[in-house]
Amino acid sequence: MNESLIYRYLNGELEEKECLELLDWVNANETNRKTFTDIKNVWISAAKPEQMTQAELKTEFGRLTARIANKDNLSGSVSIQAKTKHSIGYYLLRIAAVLLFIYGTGITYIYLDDNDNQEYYDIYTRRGEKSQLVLSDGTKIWINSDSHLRYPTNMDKSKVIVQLEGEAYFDVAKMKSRKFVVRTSDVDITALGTSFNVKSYQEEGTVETTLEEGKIQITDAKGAENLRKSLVILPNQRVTIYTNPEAEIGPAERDESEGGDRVRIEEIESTDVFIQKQANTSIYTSWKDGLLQFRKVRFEDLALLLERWYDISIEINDEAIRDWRYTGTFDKETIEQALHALSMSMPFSYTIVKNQVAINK
Amino acid sequence: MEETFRIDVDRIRKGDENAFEKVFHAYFERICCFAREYVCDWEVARELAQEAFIRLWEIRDNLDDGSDIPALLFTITRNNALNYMKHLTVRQKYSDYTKQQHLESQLNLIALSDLQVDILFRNDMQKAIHQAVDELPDRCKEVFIMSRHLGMSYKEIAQKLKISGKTVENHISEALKRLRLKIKQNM
Repeated sequence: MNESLIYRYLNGELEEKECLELLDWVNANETNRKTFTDIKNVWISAAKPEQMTQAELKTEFGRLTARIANKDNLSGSVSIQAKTKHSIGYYLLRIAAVLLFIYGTGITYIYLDDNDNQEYYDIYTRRGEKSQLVLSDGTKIWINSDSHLRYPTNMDKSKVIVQLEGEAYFDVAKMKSRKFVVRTSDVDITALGTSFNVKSYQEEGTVETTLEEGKIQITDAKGAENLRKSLVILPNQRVTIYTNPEAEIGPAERDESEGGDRVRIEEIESTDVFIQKQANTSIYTSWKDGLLQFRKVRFEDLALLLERWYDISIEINDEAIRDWRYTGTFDKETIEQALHALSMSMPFSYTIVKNQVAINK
Repeated sequence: MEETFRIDVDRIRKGDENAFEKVFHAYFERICCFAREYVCDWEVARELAQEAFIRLWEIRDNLDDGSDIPALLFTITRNNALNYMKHLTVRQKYSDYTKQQHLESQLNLIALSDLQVDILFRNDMQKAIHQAVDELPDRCKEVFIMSRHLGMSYKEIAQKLKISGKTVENHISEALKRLRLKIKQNM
């Protein structure tokens, strides 16, 4: 082995085979290892960094002080919401951002269903992306990350069916003679001039709906044997239907002391439906206003939310951390700031590489 | 270089942001570049550097007149980078990183574990090394700077200077030997 391999390693020019050869050589004995690290040390010591401009350094320092301020605010406070005073410019930017949402994100396709000869629009949002649209009848729909919504091009019908996989908030225009139906994998949710949220991600095995205004009715679409009778939901109620018998009972349901009355509905004869009366609905709907809110949510469940919200994937490498509960709100925090804040309230370590996050004890 | 720059430890201890910012301006990029040599990812390196300065600010109460702030910054970064690298090499094994990247990370991890971190922040040492680079024979210096500071590949250097790849390597070897000697003399 000649030192040529080391020099080429320093310059990042080794082929895979040579890499392996060098690694074997370095691991063979202490003398080799010392030769290798000595040369690398010399290389490192001769670095000459003069690439960063003063402006870049200023930006970096701004980032640093923001993070420190965030940390200082956090210690001693239960909430992990950053306390920030916003300027008018900030609100103007927010307004601009909302307008962009409508036109900016979500990929739309047109789909023709041969069975009913009806044309549909398909909207897909990716992770980390949200979309908002206004239908021709004035109905407003906010679509959360990683979701798919299909709605008919022709809204002039006595029954309009939109199909949802994922999460969306509906503010349905009042029209007396028309039913507005949100069809999820397992249940239909029928509305008459109401505002409500529907969350139905396949991987969660639940359909959850939260009503803010008006009245909605939940009926069996095709698969929900759990739901033997239709359910009428009143404002400020939140309903979780467990469509997958394997699905774990959700965080709020597990914690019986949390958030108002919870009743088992005897007439439905099912343990798989939970109704929360007097829910704090904003927790379940504030995502449409750009807030990520959570209350006593297990870290494992929170990780799912963060994955969609930030378009990242999270690997939890410590079992105990999965069950830790977190409460908080993220507004404009970056994923770095969010993880930082979380790790301050109950300590864990994390690494972020591109969009991969690893959580460790 | 920073030899004329004096860090006001006392003001940092008292929470003076200006004094802290001065240290940041003097060392942030060096810390970034140092971390990047091992983690091979500018974003990660920047995060590690940010973390080091956050840590420094957090422990400012514990500083005293004898505290060597550059030593602290480089040591914190080195330890965090080591942690990061250990996880990285495990993860690379199972994910879609190339075998080559995985092997290179293992080499970097060994090098970082054995790094004598003081050669990076001791001003006399840095001064001696930069002086030694300056005093290299002309061609040797030219090749070394192209490789080390301009990030050119050996092939590019060979083409530019119309010399063989072997000659490029010989120059690099010569330069590193002289610098190594300089480090030994200053230890």
